[in-house]
Amino acid sequence: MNSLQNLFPLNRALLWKEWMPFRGWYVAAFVLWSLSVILYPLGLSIYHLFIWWGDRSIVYYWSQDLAQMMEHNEGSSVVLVGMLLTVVLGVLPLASERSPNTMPFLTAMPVSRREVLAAKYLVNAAFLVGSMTVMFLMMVAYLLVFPDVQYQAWKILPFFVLTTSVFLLMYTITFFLATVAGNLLSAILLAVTALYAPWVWFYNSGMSHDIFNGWWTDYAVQAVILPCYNGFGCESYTAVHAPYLSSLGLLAVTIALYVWSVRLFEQNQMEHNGRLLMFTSLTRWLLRFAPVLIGLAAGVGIAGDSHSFLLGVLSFVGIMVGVYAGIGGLQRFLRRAGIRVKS
Amino acid sequence: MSRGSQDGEGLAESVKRQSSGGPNRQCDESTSGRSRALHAAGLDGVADRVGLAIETFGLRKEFDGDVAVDSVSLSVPEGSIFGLMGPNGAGKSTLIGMLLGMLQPTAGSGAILGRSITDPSGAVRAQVGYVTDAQHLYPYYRIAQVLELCSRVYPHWDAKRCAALMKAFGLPQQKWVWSLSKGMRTQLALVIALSVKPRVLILDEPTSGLDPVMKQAFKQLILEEAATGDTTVFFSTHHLHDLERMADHVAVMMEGRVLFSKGLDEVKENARKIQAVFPDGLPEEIRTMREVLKVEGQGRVYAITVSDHFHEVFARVKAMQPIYIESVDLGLEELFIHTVGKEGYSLELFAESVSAQ
Repeated sequence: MNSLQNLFPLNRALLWKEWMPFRGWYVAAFVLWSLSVILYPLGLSIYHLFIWWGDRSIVYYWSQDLAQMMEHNEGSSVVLVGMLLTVVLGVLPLASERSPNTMPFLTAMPVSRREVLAAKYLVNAAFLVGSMTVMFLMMVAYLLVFPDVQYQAWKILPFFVLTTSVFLLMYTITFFLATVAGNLLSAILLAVTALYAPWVWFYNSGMSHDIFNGWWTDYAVQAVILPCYNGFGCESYTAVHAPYLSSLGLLAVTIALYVWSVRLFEQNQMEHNGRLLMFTSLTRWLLRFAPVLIGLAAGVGIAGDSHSFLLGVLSFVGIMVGVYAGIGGLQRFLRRAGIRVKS
Repeated sequence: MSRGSQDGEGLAESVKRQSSGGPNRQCDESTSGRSRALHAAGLDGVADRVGLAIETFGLRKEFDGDVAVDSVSLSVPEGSIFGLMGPNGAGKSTLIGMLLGMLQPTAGSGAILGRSITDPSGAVRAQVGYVTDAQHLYPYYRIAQVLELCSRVYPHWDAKRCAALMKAFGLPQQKWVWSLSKGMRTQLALVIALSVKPRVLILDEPTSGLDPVMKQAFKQLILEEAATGDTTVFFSTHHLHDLERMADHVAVMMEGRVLFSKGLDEVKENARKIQAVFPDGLPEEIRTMREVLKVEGQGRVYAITVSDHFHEVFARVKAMQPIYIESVDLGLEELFIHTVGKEGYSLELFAESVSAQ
């Protein structure tokens, strides 16, 4: 209990700060997010009940959509909006302090850095979990109210447990990246790259068919590409066959990343505000790492293995890291040359 | 209350009338600070015995290997008004950032009211008010929401005082922070800083965005706060005139180092100017004296600026048998310019570097 309090020290004033001024925004986000589960089925049902003199056949259509959502995540606001929302929720709490430079005001208050970070993290995590819980309960309630719904009761819980765990981890990854990013733009760039670039690269480009020639590599890659857990154009083996175990694994990574975020934030929360990365030592590390990766990718390419999995991974990571390192290095160079870089 | 219809003192008076926040008493600038009040009461030296509000030991801060603050050791007596002066980039704001826990020291330590500035709980800041010229408050909050937040965070929040100050400054509670001018944001920050029942007020060039009336009101409020005897004021400024009128202790920073830190009376006692005429020109020995900041000659009259141990230096110069010798008061501004000039920061050097380009 003590270690939990140590990890998530609750400061009511800070929780209020993170929630109250934005409560309208949260309500709007929830309405948009739950469109497929709440507004769409209820709206259609009410419309048909009153306008079409009690026609209940519409239940078949929207409950089919919900069944599809749980099977393949097709056309559902829960997954589509959720995937974008995790980025917004993860980035804004910290970046919205750094970009208008309000962090000094906050840190001059009699609060600990851990309390600051915990409040930011917990409010949005609670919103994520709370919203998913409400949607879960609504789907259970439909089963009781409408006897002819087209989805099976036993599929609801694993879907919501797994999807919530995936969103929580995506949110935590974004939150972690916002901890190391110096401003709003770099936080968004880092988050989108980390969450979606591997997915775009391996699945949308069709490369997965060319480069994955073994079932184990396919499984391994899909296990680390989070959109695959949502069945977003790809399917994670573990998510399909062991949803609860997968959720536990995702939750463990979530907690580990949160702990790391706290440590980093306690070390440096505003000293390099405005830069691409808060931690200049990270920029130095990237500057060294990027040429090595790009060189390796070039080596593999020159060796003629142009469609290898190794080439794909190396060139992708190398180029992304190289871009960040380049921007970070340029900022350092400009500062050293006495040219002020706008925060 | 209309903003334009009151002068600075009227505003301060208005706050005093409306607030029931403790034993505030009338304070004019000539008796600024607790030390002066004690001096007036014949209790010299008491301030030195009542303890230290702020202490730093070898505080150092580096940014990417660049030293912003270098081994700063300061002692700020409780109840004093401590003025920190220094040119742009001297490290004043970095030092304040470390005192407030915004920045972590690379080396050294510090304490406010006996608690370490690196105390992770942040409790050290419970009765520390902070105002800076570039006050960044939450732009997407209304003023009322900012105050609500502060009232929840600060354990000793004085709502009555806050209401009185808000009324006196004429700040509308429902206004968005983003719509406030720089001066209004500073006023809001002062309202917050004074409503936390501060035992330490840290001000980082606070009056630079204020109009003359508000500047006067601001200073008046700060002086009144200090006159209660419960509040220590630590402020950095470029306005040396303000410093001279308000502070009872001063320190000069330059390139991250503290050049000196003394009581104002001590500074005035020991830093003066000697005007002298010598029969055979200026003895070279005078220029090499450690305490001599600058020697300027106009005809046969030499003006010798002394930074320390004035009486000793005066006696030594007098022993050189000048035809004429007298001592002249030295303004803080003049002392500052000569002190930083000795460290290579002077108008002459600046002009030389511009003309060289």
